[in-house]
Amino acid sequence: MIELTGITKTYGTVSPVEVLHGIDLKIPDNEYLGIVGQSGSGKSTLLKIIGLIHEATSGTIRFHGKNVTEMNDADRTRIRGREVGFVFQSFQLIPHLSVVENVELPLFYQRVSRLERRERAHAILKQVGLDHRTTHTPNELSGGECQRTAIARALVSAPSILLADEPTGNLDLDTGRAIEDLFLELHGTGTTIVLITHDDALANRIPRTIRISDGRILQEATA
Amino acid sequence: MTWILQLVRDSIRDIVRHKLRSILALLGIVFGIAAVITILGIGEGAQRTVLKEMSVMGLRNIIAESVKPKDAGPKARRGYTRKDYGLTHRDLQQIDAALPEGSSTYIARILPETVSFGSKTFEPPIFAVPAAYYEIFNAEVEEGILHNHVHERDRMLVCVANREFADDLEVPGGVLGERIKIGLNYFQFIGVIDIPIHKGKPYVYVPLATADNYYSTSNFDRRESGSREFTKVEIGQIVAQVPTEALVPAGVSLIEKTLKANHRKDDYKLTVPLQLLESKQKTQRVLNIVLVAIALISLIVGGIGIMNIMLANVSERMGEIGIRRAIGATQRDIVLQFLVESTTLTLLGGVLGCILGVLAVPFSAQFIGFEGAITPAAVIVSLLVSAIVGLGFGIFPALNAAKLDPGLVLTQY
Repeated sequence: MIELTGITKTYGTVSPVEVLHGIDLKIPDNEYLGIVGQSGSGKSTLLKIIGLIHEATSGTIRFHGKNVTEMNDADRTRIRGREVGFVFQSFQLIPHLSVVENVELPLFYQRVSRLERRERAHAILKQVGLDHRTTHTPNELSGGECQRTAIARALVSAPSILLADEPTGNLDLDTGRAIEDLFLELHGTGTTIVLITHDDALANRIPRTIRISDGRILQEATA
Repeated sequence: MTWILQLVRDSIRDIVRHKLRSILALLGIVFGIAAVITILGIGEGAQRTVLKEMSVMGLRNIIAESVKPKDAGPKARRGYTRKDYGLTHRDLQQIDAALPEGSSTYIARILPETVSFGSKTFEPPIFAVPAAYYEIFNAEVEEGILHNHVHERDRMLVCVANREFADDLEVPGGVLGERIKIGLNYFQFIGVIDIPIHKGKPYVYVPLATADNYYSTSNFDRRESGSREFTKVEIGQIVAQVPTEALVPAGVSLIEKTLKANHRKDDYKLTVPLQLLESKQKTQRVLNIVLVAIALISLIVGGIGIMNIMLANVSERMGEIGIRRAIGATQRDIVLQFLVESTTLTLLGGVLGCILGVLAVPFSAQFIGFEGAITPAAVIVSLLVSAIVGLGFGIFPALNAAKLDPGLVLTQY
């Protein structure tokens, strides 16, 4: 369970801009939550706060009962590395590393041995259907393959939550649908997923969605 | 440790990926380290050469020599001057008495004669020495023998010479057995020696006892101007040898005090090989420090180049840094990554610089005129310096990289 209470986020000090206003949100285990809203509504900021990339200006976040807002940067980073998997719209793969090296990177920072890193990376790449592309670099992959690599990287440390920021935004329709199916499949295996989307069709496939507007949760819907 | 090795491996891959940029960044380090190795190698070689040169003069020796003063002397008359100068037996007795226990003294006379061989005439310094003289100055026999106590006892008319004088005579089968005329007396060659203290100029040596028997300490010369000069030099050289190098300063002080008390004019000089060595070593050390400081300037410039490249690296890789932070890299991990990259780069430059320096030392030393010497310490110090440059100039870009806000960076990149 991830719990956000009274979360606000303000950017800037000279002319501060508050982008999130008092967000309260509970994300139970095994939930598949969609976040929808217009551009600039605060969706990505909320996602990054859930994923401990951004620090909230005020409010508390609890990860499985632990108050992470009081932790220092190093401890928050370690939790983020172990518990959170990120998938971005623009894939965010490291261009000079191969597919398998990109995927095993989170394990590198958890000081997992080289042998175990490789084994786990290969296993997850097989799961996402990329075991034939392990030695290729991102510039040798298609958009769909890049996104599947990013998903593999997000899953390799068996995180308790997968956060995806418009994962199909840069993909064609068919490839996007395939990625959506993959997310549904992952949810089916018990992974908690929070996903931002502009796509109403995808939003309709997600069991629970919240609509954000102007930094506030406007409404909640269940499929 | 394996984690650091992984970072080093990744750094090397990065260097290979950007070959031209890496080479240009490295150049300052390569030349700086090569300069340090070369300077230290030449300096070490110079030290060893100086030590060798001074050692052959005997580091426990204190050498006092008679020197002809410039003034006319107390008994000058028109057309006729008399000069009594230099070291005396009285000096010798007092020096003997004053020196620490275990010290020895040896005297030598310098005969103001010319040497004739066939129709040729030569004017080498002619030293009348005791047999022990050769040992205290590390002479080695090249041909024949040295004169010994029998030659001394019997006041035999024998001589030895160094290679330079032997070659000057141009005798096809060598000089052994040949006779030369010193003043009015004929001496037979019994040996040719290598005596380092007199290397480079021709010298002849005869037994002291023979010289005392056949040659007066007084000498009468007619000058070109027509006037006449009468000189008397009792002893040409006194060599005092103290038991240990530590006693040399005290020995010098005693001898100086004795000679100052006994002599009113500047008719002697002191040569102290140990002091000469220390002086040369001090000069060498100062020169080394100055030259190494200049080489360090090159390293500083190289380090600034490295810092510049690393800052550019960080700018180019902001997106990568953001994603690494997002997936679990702490700020410490990022600092370590970039420090390992900068240090790997400078160590690579250090290795190349060492290779260049090791190749340059024998070449440069030959150019200057003596052997160079590369010590393992110089190589280790140079590599350590390159690592320090990498750490020192890499820390600022590394800290900059670590401070990046991953959330903001991921939004922008």
